[in-house]
Order: sequence, then structure tokens, then C-alpha cells
Amino acid sequence: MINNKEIIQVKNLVRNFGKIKAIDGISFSVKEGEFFGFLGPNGAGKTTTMRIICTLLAPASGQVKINGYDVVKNPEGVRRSIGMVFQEESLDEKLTAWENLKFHAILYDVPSTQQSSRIIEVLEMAGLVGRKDDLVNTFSGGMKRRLEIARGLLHRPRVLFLDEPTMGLDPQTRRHIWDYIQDLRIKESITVFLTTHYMDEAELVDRVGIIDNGKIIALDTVANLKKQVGGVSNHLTLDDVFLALTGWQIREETASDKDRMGQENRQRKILNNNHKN
Amino acid sequence: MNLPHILKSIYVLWYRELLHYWRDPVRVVASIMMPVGFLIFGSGLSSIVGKVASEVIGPQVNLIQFLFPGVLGLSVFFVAIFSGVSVIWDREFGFLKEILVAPISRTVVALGRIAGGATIAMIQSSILLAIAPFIGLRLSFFIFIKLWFLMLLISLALTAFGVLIGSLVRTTEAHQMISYSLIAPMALLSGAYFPLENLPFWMDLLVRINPFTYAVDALRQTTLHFSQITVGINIFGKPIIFLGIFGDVLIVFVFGIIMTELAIWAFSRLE
Repeated sequence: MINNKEIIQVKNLVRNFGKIKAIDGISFSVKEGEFFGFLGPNGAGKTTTMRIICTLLAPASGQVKINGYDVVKNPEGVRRSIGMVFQEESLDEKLTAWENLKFHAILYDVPSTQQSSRIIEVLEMAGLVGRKDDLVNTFSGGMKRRLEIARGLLHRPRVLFLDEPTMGLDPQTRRHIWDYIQDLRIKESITVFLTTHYMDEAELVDRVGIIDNGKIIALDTVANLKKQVGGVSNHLTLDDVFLALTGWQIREETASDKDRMGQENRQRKILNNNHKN
Repeated sequence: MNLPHILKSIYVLWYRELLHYWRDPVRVVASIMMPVGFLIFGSGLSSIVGKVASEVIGPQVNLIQFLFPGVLGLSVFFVAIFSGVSVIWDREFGFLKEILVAPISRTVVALGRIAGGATIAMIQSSILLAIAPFIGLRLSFFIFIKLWFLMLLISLALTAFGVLIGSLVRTTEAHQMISYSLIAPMALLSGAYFPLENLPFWMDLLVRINPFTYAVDALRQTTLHFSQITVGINIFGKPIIFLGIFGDVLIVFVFGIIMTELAIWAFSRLE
């Protein structure tokens, strides 16, 4: 259920690292219950935006509000409202699954009478009840991810942030994690904010924001973006849309001019072909 | 944060440190082996340097008895510094982020860590304290309790120091460098290993600005009634204000407060 309340509000957000403008005045909002995909090439500003939203990094200027709380003025309110699943692993591998969740429940001030029942509830959702007393260092990559998502939901956040949740996982595990996320959205009607490099995953979201060089360059539904790039009758995938909008150049590496020209030609070809169709 | 939430959060952070300790058999075995090793090492050494040492210290104390309070202090010192390494490990394994985005203040995070590290330092040094009677140190019950509280203060102060280093340094490699260039000299120039007599001026100065010196001296004064460093004001070589063990305790206490404040500050700027 999407309603009109804007649960994430980002206004004119700026963040510099030295002279580099990592975030160059971006604005967007996400409605309650929405499934929002935040895409962009490596180094475009995705992770920086995420870090500002989850209060790990202060903005240089602009305003970010989550569930009505300002990230600078009321970081504690923001932290209570969000569940984070980071790109890198963030479990304590020397603790059991249960202990990791118990630790989280206490830090997030989950009422002690509800702690055990909620831990069991999220473990069931993650399919890990049978392994609850095993140390996390005996878990596979997929199990760890499921546990992290379960942990992110334990304190009943209003928004769940998933930063490349399926990166480095095999197709089976990816599918499993996705079924889990979809299932979750139906059951919990929670707002989900996702970043990913897998465009087939992003096809499933309600709305997409694409960030490049610190600026939002597209913000719409997947269907509308495809129309915008390829015209009405097209067979574009989100992959094509993404490449058309952000270019072919590989990021974080300085491609030679010749390479760049080659890439730009390929890009032009795709766009021309699509418009001809 | 309300008070129950603050206390429960400190408790769970403390408890996690202890779980890590118990689940690492190497650390547990090391904390038992260290005192045993000290006994063997000390008795072996005293036959060689015992005579020299007794000339400086006096005939009533043997080397192993002289070393005992120093080793007590050192065991606290090393465990305390190690609790700083766990902050770096948490960063490297990603778990630090889970703590940093939790709705708890960074003060709570720092205090939980310090409490956990200090407790582990206390476990290890309490084992060491228990062997005191076996090396001929007759400690009355009152002195035993006094020592224990002294160790508690030293553990808290030094763990705060260790946690501060751990939160300022980002990699274990960098921490190694700090260990060699700061921690090792502090341990060496504290009077824990050798008597602080007839030192050259510059070394005497280093000994005096080393806060760990006063921790070792306080432990030694309590066990042996023997002080190596005077805290007070001297005029023409005569002490006019002599604070004795209270001076030592005061310095360790103030050092601990400053380190705790700095550790809280360092945690508050972690990203």
C-alpha cells in the first residue's frame, strides 16, 4: 500500500569530499509503502547518499528527513525509524544468530517482553530458526544476508534500506533473497529503499532514481523511463535505459580518449536504433 | 535515550566483549599461562640478577617479589591495549557499523567498550593476584582488597587509553606501529621491570611523564611498602609536600578521566 505521506524527503542535498562534489544538490522523496530503487554507476554518489540518510555522515548543506525526523537535528529518531542492510557484512561472526539479534533488540530498545517472540518471528521469516544457536561464522553468504535483513526488521522500522543486498551471491541465493524481500513487502507493507547493480532486480521496483556524478538524472517509474529513452514501442530493458542515461564509460578508471569515443558511438547507435523502431 | 535503555545498552556491549573473550580459547589460556610463566621466569632470573637487585631494593625483598606488582600492572596494561584492537577488528569485519547506526549515544558505546575491556583486564590480573602467596608475598586481607580496587581503577583508566587508540587508528598494521613506538616504551619506562635508580636525566623525565609509572608505583607501594617515585613538590631536593600513594592514585584517576573523555570524543566522530 503506497500512501501519500513522504517518508523520505531529500532537499538540495550537498556533500563534498575535498574539492570533489560527491553529492551535488539532489532532491527526491519516497512515499510510505513505496518500493524505491536507487541506481547509479560506481562512484556516482549512491553510497554517500545512503550514509547521509542513515546518519553516518553529515551533509554539507541541504535537508534530509526520514519519517519526519531530520538527520542532523534528530539522528536518534532517524535511527529508530530505519533498518539498515549494508553492502558489506556487518554481523558479529563470533556470536550466534540469536545473540546477534538479541544484541540488536537491546540496542534498539525493543521491549524486553517482546524480544524473544520478535526474534523468533524474523528468524522464521529468514528460514533460520533451526540454526539460531549456531555461530554466524558457520553460515553461508546467503544465510548471513538473510540474517542481516531479519535483523534490519527486528525493531519494526518504517523504512528498510538495502544497499546492494544480493552482491556477490549465486543466482539461487539471489532468487531466494528476492522472494524473501517480496514476501516481506506483502506481509509488512514496509517502505523499501534499494540500491543495486542488477537491473533485472530493479525492474521490480515502483520507482527508480538514477544518480550520476552526484546529480539525479532520472526519477520515474521503470515503464516511464523506458518510454522516455526508447519511445513507445520498444524492447528496452532497464539495462539499456541505464546505459543510455549514464553512458558507457567505465567508472573509476580513466579510459583513453579513443575508448571513450568508441563507447560514445556505441551509445549513440543504441539510441538511434531505438528511435528508429 | 532513557536511563534503562542506557544501562541495558552498556550491559549488552560489555557482555559482548566478555563473550568474545570466553569464545577465544587462546586468550583464556594466555591469561592463565602468563602468570605461570611469570613465576617460572622470575625464579630463573632471580638467581642471576637477584644479587644486584637486592643491593638496590634492599635485602628484605627478592627480585620476584619486586617484579610482582610490576607484572600485575603490565598484565592490566596489555589486556587494556588489546581491547583497543577489538575496535579496529569490529571496523574491519563491518560490525562497527551496526553499532554506529543504532539509536544509542556514542558515549554509551565508548563506556560499554571500556567496561568490557576493563573487566577482562580484571579477570587476568585477579588470577595473577591469586598467586601472590605462592611467591612468598604475605598480603593481609585488607591489602588484598586494596590492591584489587587499585587494579580496578588502573584497568578502567588504561582500557580507556586503549579504546582511544583503537578508535583513532584505522588498521591493525597502524596499531602495531603504535604498540612498538608508544606502548612498549611506556611498559619499559615504568619501573615495572627494573628499579628506577640512578637513571640519566632524560630517562628520568620520560619515566615521570609516563602515567603508567604511577600505576605501577601505587601497586608496589601497596604490596611492598616501597616507593620509587615521589609525587609532591621538592625544593632543594627536600620534599615539602609528599602525597605518597594518594598522589599516584590521583594521577591515575585524572589520567583515566581524561582518557575516557577523549575516547568518548573519538567515538562521537567515527563515521
